[in-house]
Amino acid sequence: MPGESVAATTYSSDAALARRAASGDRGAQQLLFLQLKAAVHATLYRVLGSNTHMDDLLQESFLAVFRALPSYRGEAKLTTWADRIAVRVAFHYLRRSASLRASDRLPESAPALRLVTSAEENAEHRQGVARLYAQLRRLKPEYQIAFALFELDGRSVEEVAEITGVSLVAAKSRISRARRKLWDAAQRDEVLTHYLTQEDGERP
Amino acid sequence: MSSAKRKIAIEPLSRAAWDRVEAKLLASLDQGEHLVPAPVEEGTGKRWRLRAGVAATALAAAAATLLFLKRDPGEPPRAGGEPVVASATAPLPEPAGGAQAFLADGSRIETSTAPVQSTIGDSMLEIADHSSLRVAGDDAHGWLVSLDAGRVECRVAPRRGRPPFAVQAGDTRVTVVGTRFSVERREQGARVVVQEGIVRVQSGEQSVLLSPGESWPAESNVPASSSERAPEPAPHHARKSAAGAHSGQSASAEQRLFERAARLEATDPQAALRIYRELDRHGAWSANALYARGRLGLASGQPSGKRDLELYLKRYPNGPNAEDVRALLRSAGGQR
Repeated sequence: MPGESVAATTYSSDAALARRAASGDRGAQQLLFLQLKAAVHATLYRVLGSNTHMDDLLQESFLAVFRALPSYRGEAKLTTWADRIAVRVAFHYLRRSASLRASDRLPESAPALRLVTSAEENAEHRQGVARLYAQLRRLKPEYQIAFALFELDGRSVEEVAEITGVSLVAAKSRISRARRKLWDAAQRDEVLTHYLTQEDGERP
Repeated sequence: MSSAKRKIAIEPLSRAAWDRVEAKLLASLDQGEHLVPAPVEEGTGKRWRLRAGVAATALAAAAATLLFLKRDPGEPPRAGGEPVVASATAPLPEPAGGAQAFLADGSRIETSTAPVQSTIGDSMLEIADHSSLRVAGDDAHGWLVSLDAGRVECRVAPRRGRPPFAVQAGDTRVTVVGTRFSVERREQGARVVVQEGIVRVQSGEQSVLLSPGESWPAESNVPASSSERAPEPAPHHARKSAAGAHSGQSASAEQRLFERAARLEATDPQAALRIYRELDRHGAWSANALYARGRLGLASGQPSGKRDLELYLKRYPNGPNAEDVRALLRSAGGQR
């Protein structure tokens, strides 16, 4: 596009792929899906804690990605840009499902385990993660997402701010509030307390 | 809390699940769903919010026609000039007595007491009197026509490998696979009649492919507003065959069965296929049933669909649907 700033297009190969996919090039559409699917799935999974409804959420996310492709100019990495869309989809999913959810229901399938040393530890870890997500579900969607991206997906505060579209201060504040609320809940939940102290070693 | 320490492993999706997601996504793209404005909550709706009227050049209007191309006061005009209220007269080959307008992204058009012919890219629209529609998109990304009121007839080049062309009328979306069809706005949805080629109609959870002569919805109690919009559920070509076979008689059991299968296509395609399979063995409806079975099978992604269509050509090389079958087979061959 003649008036477009070249400097603004940092990720030119991503932008070229996006343009081809947006113009209906089937090969480019498939390549874009292949390049983004792992990242989008990981983001949705860590925010939501399970693969429940994952087919639909992935479909919704990718459709949103393709809708928004004409606006992508390569200012950010394509995966980061798609992450923002996936987080929006997760946010609306959480908001939609909040009213339907029993307050203390555990996730339908607990997240996968990290490498652990024994069956007992394995079970404890699974239970702890399940309790963590159960408590997270009680928080506002924006707190859930900020916490999950920072603590469970390993993002920096800067990345959380960028993906969720808020200031650095707001991102920090959301993470911090989510932590405090989780620790408050842990006072009434031994399994969660054990899990948090085992993982952290100390209270925030 | 150390984030690196807590990072949770991802439970992988099965290959079958990924295949499902990819197939569904590509099918959605084929149907032009990515061109349909997203719900506002998704955040992309803003970009797609149709900017009322820009940059259209209207030529000519018949004596009784007033053509309004509106523009949002806050929106700068695009290349192609300011929107105009057409008042000049110019001879146009078709439609007789109509006006012509070239529509661009963001255009809005309302007709008064006469039809208007419009061009979007290389597609032609005949917009009936007292109709209103908006246009979004471009040749590179595809076109979305939102029909707010009235009726529009579209002549669209086959989309094989090209960006989609879709008409949204209420909660009904019509995506072009082939060439000529009309959409009439109803309260919440639309009535669709196909003259040539193939279109996909999606309304809520229902999705159905329509061939020439077929209309949607298929319910017989939908009142038609003109003789062209026949309300019968059976395809037009099927009705013609029926007229020959059962002239002057009430619908036969086979016809009723055929019509039942046609109604089931959107909600229970497998049941529809079973009925067509029964019907195509013998009787006056066998050719229609074989064609319908092949068409539906192809639309449902079943390999048997192509085989059935080829069988149709073998049995009825000059049958009433032979041309449609050839078009479907060409289309199926070009998609992959």
